[in-house]
Amino acid sequence: MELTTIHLSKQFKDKTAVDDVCLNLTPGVWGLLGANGAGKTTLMRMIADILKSSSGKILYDGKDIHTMGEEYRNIFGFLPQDFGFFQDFTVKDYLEYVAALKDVPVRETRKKIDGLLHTLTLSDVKNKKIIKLSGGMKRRVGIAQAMLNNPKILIMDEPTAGLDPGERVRFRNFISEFSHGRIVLISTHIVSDIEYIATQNAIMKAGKILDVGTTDELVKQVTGKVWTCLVPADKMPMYEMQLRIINQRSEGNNQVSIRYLADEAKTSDSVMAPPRLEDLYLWLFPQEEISEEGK
Amino acid sequence: MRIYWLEIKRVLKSRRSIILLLIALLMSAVMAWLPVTFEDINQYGEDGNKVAELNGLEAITYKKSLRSINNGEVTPERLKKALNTYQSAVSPYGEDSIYSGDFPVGLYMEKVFPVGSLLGRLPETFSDPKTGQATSLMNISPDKLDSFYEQTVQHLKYIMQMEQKEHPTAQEQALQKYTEVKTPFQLYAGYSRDAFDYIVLYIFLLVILCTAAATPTFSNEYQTGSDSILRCTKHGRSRLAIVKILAALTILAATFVICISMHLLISNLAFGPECMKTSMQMLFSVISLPAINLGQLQAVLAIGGLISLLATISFTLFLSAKCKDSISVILIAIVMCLLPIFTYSTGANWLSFILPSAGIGMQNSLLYQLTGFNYLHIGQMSFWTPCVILAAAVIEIPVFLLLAIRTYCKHQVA
Repeated sequence: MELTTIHLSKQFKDKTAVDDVCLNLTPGVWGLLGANGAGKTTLMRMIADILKSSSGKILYDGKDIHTMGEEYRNIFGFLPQDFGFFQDFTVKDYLEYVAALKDVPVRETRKKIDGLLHTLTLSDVKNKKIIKLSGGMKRRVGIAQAMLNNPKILIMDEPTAGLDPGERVRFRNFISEFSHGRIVLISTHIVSDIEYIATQNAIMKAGKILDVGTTDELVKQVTGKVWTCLVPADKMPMYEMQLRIINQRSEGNNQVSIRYLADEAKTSDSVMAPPRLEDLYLWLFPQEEISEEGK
Repeated sequence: MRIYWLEIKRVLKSRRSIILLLIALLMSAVMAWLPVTFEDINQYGEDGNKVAELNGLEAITYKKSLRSINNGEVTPERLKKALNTYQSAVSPYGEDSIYSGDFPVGLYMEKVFPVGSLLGRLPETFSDPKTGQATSLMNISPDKLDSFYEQTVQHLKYIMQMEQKEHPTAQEQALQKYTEVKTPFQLYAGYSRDAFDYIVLYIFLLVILCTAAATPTFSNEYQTGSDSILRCTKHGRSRLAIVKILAALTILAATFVICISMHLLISNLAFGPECMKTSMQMLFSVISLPAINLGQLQAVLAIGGLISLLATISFTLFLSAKCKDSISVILIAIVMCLLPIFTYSTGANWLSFILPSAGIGMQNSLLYQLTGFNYLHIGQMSFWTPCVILAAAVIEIPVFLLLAIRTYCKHQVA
């Protein structure tokens, strides 16, 4: 099973949102990393076949997904970044409605819904109107609907936005278990959410895929570029000007432990640190650039 | 079927739909009752003094008790007898005294009022062929009433020559259609023209309410983003579009049928169901072309209103599938509902009668087109406007529905 994008591009009036993307998604969890405006959402919408590409195509096991139509949507689950609900529906009503649209047999619907509500700790609110739920709960209802038909391809755009740390951990475990034999593509800003569960990552910048690989393969790019050291607290403003600090922690005695990115050590007592996916993300997407792309 | 029922349930659970439907139901009763409250008459004793001022149902009952002796067929003999009664009662005082209040009340209630409905169409029938001005009842010779029905045909000829001077086909069509009208006319006095105006007004309001209820069908899902999820499901494209359309049409058509039935039921029970047997020509123009009675006219208005409603809703659903926000849809849809009223104010033209809501309004409404003599022309061919209204609406329903489905399926998430 594979989902392939072939020279996929999407041009809006004066902006190329997705630029000649070639990706070959195989079973497992795929993390799609990129700053705001990198083109992740546009790419996901095209994979969901709700947005037409300007050029290129998407194939599922060699068949054009657009031509497959219903057949493709039958094995597909999608959680968009921004989505609404029917405001007067309860959680249960809504999931029953989506289950019918997904052609889940009536007999299986209740069992399936109860199972998902239990897994996503929503059982207590199943008869509550969706409008009355918290942001995190709404997001979990969104996750539940995406999984109702046991999709072979699951695309989730920022699924962990609004979830608290406990919910994020449960989500990671659930997705990790769910992904066996399926293609799960997750875009997120919260790198830690996919760092340990993603079998592959794709890094996107300005509409292009910069790199694809496992977390270990990708972080090699920043090996030797992550440093830690202790600096006096009163000199922090100066270091902040000079270094790309990605983390800082007060150590007492007027000392601050910093983690920074640089091609070489910038202080005499700097120690090379093992790189993480977040370091790579910040190396590739410096804060100023993220702000620019988001505009 | 499962998706269809779930969609029906979804729409009916929406607070907005419930409020609109309740308003429609409440208005059906209120607007049926209003014309009843307009009815009033003074009751006089044998000494000519006012004994009671009757309103509403009491007024209707009293008026009917006075006029019921003339119920039945409107034969030339009955017309003659009634005219003789009228003229002999009025001639000593002069006709103007009736309007100036100098006419003896007792005599009026005994001789003039009871024949009012029966003689009501004579001034029009014997109007001046050159000016079209109505003739006073005092100036009509009772002997002429032997050929009353021949005179109505003659009057129609004059009117058509005036109204459709350059279109002989329209004149022929009207005369041909009038031959179908059954004579002698039937008269069961009591029903008011106000009640018919309120049926027309209520249909207009129902269409506006139903249009408002239909606007969010697709656009609301676009606006909230829920559409992104739904259209990714197996049945989330054409099948969902069809189901949404069917559910909207079912609910709105059912609402219309229930509300208009309730409205007519209240109105007919108040004025008396026997009034429905009255020929349309005895309440509206004597040369009205449809060969129907008031009950059938109500049915035609209800069915015509339903067809116009479905055409308007179909257009609204297309708009809803096209536009990305509900506010734009509701604004455009309401403007389209009102457009025939404005275009008709510039005179009868094709645009006024081919728009989806062409039969909805007041002067441009199906009722006033049925009682009028407006024809539209293409070359030598002439088309009576009620037929144009209904034919255009019937054609537009499938066209706009197919466009709505196509537009929804082609919609791209921005």
